[in-house]
Amino acid sequence: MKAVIMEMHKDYCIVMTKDGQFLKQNIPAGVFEIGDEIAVSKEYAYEPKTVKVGWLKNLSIAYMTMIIVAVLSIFGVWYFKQYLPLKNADLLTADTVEEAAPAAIEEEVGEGETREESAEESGLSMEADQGEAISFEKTYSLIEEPKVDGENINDVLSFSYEIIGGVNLQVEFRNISSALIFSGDIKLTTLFSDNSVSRTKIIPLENFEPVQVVKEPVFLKAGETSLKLEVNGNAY
Amino acid sequence: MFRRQSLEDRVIEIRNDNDRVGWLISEFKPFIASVAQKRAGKFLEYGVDDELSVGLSAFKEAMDSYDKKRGKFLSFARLVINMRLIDYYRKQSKKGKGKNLSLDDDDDPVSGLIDSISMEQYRVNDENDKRIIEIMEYRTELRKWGITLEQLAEISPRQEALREQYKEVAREIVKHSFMLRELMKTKRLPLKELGEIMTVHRKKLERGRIYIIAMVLAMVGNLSYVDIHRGGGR
Repeated sequence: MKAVIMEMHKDYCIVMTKDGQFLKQNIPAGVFEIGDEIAVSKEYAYEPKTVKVGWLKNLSIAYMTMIIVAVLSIFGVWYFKQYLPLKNADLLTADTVEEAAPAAIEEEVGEGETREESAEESGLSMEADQGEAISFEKTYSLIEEPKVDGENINDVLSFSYEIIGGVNLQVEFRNISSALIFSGDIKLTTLFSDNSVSRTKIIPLENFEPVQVVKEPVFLKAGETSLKLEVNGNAY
Repeated sequence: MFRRQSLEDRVIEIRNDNDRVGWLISEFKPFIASVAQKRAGKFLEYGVDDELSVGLSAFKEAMDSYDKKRGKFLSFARLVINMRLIDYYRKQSKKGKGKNLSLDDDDDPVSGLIDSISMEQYRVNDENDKRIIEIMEYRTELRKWGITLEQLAEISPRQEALREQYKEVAREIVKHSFMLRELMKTKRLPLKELGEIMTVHRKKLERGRIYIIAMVLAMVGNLSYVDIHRGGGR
């Protein structure tokens, strides 16, 4: 059937047949002019690919968005867990100066308690007659001191720590004495900026001999800004 | 409604009135694009391709310099558009090679060519030109009704019987001037009146509203190409 070209588009044209039907034909622009007469055929009928492709495209875009959101949220949770401690710590540095005073009070209170404990323990050790009692306690600000190297504890133990990668606190104990064996517990407490206790980790050291080294990793959580070390035990 | 004045008379009458020149140019924009596209051999888009700016100014130039002695306006305009595009491409290629032929830049090969080319060359397309004018006017008229050709291609009935039924409705409307007047005035199908003289379901008429209007406009505009005035060729 014959038809006349009414409108040209990029990859099709709209024609009107002699009997008044409007059709799209698969004839790209640049071949004919408007008003040219052509023969229409079903072979050249323009099939809009966009319907199916568009639908698929929309679906794939939706899937992609969902995947991206999922990945981002997983990453986000991980990020907040892992990296926020340091960021918070950075932000809190100004506050920590002010908070240093209450921290000191806390420390004193803590010390009082431990003194009692150590007294009890020393009492026990006296009974057991197991050499020199060691009791040590100190709080370290992780922001001001990201690294401590060889804190001497009664010439028996040496304590070091270092923050690796912002979140990983590597703690190390070494027996620096020449002949004393240490037995006891080491209590590591992480504190928030307001000196409230976050977590406590107890490392038991039994028959810790000279030159022996113990390393413990501690993952820091968001908001943890200081570390309290308590050592209670005997060296003999 | 559709103009009864010839395009040639229209061009001569309005060419000093900027507003009406603008209207005519915008009415013939698809024609200008199709001529330029055929010359370029590719799709061109207004506002993107320079060829169409050249085409538009060539069409304006054709309007300004048209004279009835030059034959039909559209053939003349097509010739001017083609010449200006050849000129444009030549300048582009010169730019590419560097300006070693600067002496030729100032002369105007087109005006000379327009005079020298035999009128015979573009009289051949007389019938095409008549169709183009009809199509442009038809498109403009459809646009006033908010109907696009794209839309018509989508909703145009595939079944011949249904198409024939709608065309019959359109013929009835055109035949009865009171119905045609009502349609033109209200832009709604005279469903009640149609119901009295035809047995077509109201719902069916409502579904085919756009196509029926397009057919009425084709009949009123006297689209010579389409064979819709007679009873469906049966």
